[in-house]
Amino acid sequence: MFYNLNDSKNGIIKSISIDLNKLDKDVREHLEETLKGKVKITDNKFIIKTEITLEQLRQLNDGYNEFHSKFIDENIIVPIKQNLKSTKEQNKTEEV
Amino acid sequence: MVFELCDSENGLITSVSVEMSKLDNQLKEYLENNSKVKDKRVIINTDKITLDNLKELNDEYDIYMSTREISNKTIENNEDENIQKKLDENIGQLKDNKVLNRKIIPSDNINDKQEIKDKSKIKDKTINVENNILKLLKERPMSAVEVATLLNMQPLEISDKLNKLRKQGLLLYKIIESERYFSLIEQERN
Repeated sequence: MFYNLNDSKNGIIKSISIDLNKLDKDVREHLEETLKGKVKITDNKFIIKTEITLEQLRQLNDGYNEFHSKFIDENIIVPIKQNLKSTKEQNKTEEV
Repeated sequence: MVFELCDSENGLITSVSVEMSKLDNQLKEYLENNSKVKDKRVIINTDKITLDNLKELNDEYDIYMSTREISNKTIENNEDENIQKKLDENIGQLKDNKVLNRKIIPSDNINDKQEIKDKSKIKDKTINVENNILKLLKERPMSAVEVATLLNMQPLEISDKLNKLRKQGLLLYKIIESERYFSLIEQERN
């Protein structure tokens, strides 16, 4: 899970956390700079205030996972495929 | 989910709640006497469990309920009086059951020092039980209820052990007619 349960009261989640160790160094620095003063940082965790249920936390994580897989697909998988394709075509041309 | 998140601190759950209408009578009575009741919900203090533990707890409750169903069916069909008697005894013991003892501790019911003293005994007992389970499953695949009956233990306690052995890669389980049947992985490969 990217967003983790932090504090809850009577079934309502009052805050969630993001483990800073799980973030890429650049992303982490960017977030630290952007969110300075807006979120609490303790024990290498971003603490974000919420007013959500456990089900909504699940949806939040699902949304993040979808975003993350799309990001990986668009920025890593597709370029690799394109690179392979052009290498293949180049090889063919050289053979001819 | 029967057990739902109530209070938590720093990612650890300090209490869970259960809607009373979702509980079977025996557990309802037990929990009513040992826990706080608020807005038709029982609030149970927990020993700082994680969300994964909460999920396991709900899974175990499902197994407990299916055990009760099997027990009731046995009663209806008068299939085997001994099995029926043993299951009834086991369900009676669920008042201090594994679900509640392992994950949920009713307030003021813990004696830490005694718990530490008993830990080594429990460890030895656990190893013996696990060995006995493996011996039984060498013979043929069995459900948690069958294993429990043969070892004269609580079905829930057995299912906990079975799940532990499964996580260690020693067992696999398959669903046959809504009951979990466990068997040795070696046997399955052969």
